[in-house]
Amino acid sequence: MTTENGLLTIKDLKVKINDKEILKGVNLKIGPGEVHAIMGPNGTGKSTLAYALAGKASYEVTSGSVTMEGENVLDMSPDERARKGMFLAFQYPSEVPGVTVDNFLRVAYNTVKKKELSIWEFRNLLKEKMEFLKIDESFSGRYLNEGFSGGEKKRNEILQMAVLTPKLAILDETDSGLDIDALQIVAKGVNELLPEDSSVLVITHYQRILRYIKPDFVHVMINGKIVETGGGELAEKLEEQGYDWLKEKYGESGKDNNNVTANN
Amino acid sequence: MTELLGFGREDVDRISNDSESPDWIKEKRATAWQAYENLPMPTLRDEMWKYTDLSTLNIKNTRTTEASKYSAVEKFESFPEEAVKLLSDEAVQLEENGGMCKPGLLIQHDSQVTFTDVEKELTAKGVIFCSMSDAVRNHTDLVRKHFMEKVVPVGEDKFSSLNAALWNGGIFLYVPKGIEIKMPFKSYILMTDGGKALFHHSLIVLEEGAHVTYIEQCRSEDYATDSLNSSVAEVVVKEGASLDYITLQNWGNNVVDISTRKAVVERDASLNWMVGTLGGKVTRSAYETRLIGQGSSTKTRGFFLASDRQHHDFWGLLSHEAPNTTADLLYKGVLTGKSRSVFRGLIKISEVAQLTDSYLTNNNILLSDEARADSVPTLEINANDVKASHGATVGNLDKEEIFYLMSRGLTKSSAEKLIIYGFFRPVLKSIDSEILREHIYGFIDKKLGA
Repeated sequence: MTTENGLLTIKDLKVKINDKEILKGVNLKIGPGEVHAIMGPNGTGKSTLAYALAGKASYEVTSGSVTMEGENVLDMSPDERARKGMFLAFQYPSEVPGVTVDNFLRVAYNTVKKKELSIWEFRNLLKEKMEFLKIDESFSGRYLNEGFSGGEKKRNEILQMAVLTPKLAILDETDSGLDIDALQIVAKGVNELLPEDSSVLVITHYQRILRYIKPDFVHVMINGKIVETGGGELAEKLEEQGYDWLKEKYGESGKDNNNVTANN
Repeated sequence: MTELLGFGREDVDRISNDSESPDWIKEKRATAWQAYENLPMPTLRDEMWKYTDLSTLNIKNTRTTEASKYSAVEKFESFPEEAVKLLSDEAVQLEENGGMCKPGLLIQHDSQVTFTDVEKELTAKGVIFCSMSDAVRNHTDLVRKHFMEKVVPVGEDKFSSLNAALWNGGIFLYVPKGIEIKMPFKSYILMTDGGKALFHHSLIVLEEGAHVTYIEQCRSEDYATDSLNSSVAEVVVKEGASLDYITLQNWGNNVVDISTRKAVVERDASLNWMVGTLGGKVTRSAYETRLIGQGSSTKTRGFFLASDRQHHDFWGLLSHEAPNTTADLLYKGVLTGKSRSVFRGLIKISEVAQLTDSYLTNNNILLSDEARADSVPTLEINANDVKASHGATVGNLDKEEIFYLMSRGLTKSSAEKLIIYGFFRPVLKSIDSEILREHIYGFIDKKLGA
């Protein structure tokens, strides 16, 4: 298996939604154990990239390639990608009535890890992660995301990540709507519950979460392309100066397509 | 239109003689037959039959079986092979319980009870669980008060009249005052061939303060010729008593099932229906509950999974006839293939039934473009201080939900299955018995997998 020295390689990725081009040639390489952040103003295609990587059906890839450990990701169904080790923490996860968190996660765990843990065995595993993330015990018997607060949904996403221990965790605006305590817990989960060689791709509008999840690389996306790449200091610069200087340098992020790219 | 059914007066006589019916039963049969002959066969023009076309059915040659066709058996193993197969899960439970069928188990082969086991201590306390034909002979006083009197009187409609004339099976469950039993009474109705006509008539009477659960399961394999099952159940729940009545219909794909279950619920009493329909070719089930006593309540939890060309027609009546009564009906269905369903429900609140709460909900998921579900919930309210609501939905599986579950590694079919289980969960969680729940999941799995 060729790994091209990387875990995930995205080359010239172009994606359309409803005939409108949102990603206009994204290039990105993520190595094992690396933490990357993609920042940028709203409506530049950050979340589109996340969903395209996860394999959302209505997103049409018109050119480019995505490989994970040398294998063509674009040929895989969403579940194959997950079994390959990709995980997306949704910004707005679906509510699934009648399906309890523990039962769903057990099915997911057994599928991804090719195991057959019983309900009891799995509960022990789950309990440990829940304690770490300061999630109440009653949570596991609740219906998936149904009636969850915004913060509970985010924590639930991180819990799923902690259980499935993916090779690549993509966090789509996981920080939004979290208070500082919740944010710290979530960040601690990402830092400590993933294996050493797992990689993380943090998608965010704000620099706040990057104080707790330290990125090795920061990329800025404007108008469907990654326009700048740097280290942690780039995030700080953006925090101080905002995005205007980049918009001027690389052209308007395209306010006219805000609606289309609003992470749905 | 050619005749839908091929029964005649001679069938009534034969059954009367065969089953050694007492005279009052023979008279009832005769009256009922007359009523049957006088009533017109329902057509699509009848509001109650608007969605189920009886004229397309091929059940004219179905025949009742004689009353003592099968010999009674003492042990499970002695059943005919087909019956043993249909009872495999029950046999496992029986073995786990050391061969005991507590509190009671009846197995009916076609129309005949061939296996009976009731806990002796309960019989000593006056609990009766036996075949209806034994009951009319041996417990005449108890039966006669209720049998085809107030709950389903003779001559009420075409099919219940036919049932009253030709009934040849069914159970009688009687629970005296104050007796509470946690474990369920169980009965199975098995059909092991095509071309049959079954007319079960059951009666359940709970005296004041009695609490029991009754589980009834219909099962058969698929056969080449169509059969008819047209049963009637009458239920009386007296003051402060409570009954959980669970029915699980899993007939083969050749069975036309036209069945009616009606109940009266007295003061502070409660009745919980759990209705599961998985099998049958055309199923028409009617559930009517009359809350006649103050503070009485009823809850219905129902589900169905229809596939191929199955047709499900459900009718539910919540009739509030006293103050402070509550009713809550939730009926959920999943349809695949070219299957078809109709839900009709009515909340009826009489002028005396003040301070009543009543809810009627039907949700359907269509898994195929060729399946169709109709839903007609209605309200008829004649009191002014009540809370009542109804709702119905018909939709497809949510694509976002499927994508979300798939993004966690679940295959598409396993994601869909999980969502469907979740959809049914509010209904199935009302079943206490984990074994039965697992069993239902097994049936659903099998149907969805096909």
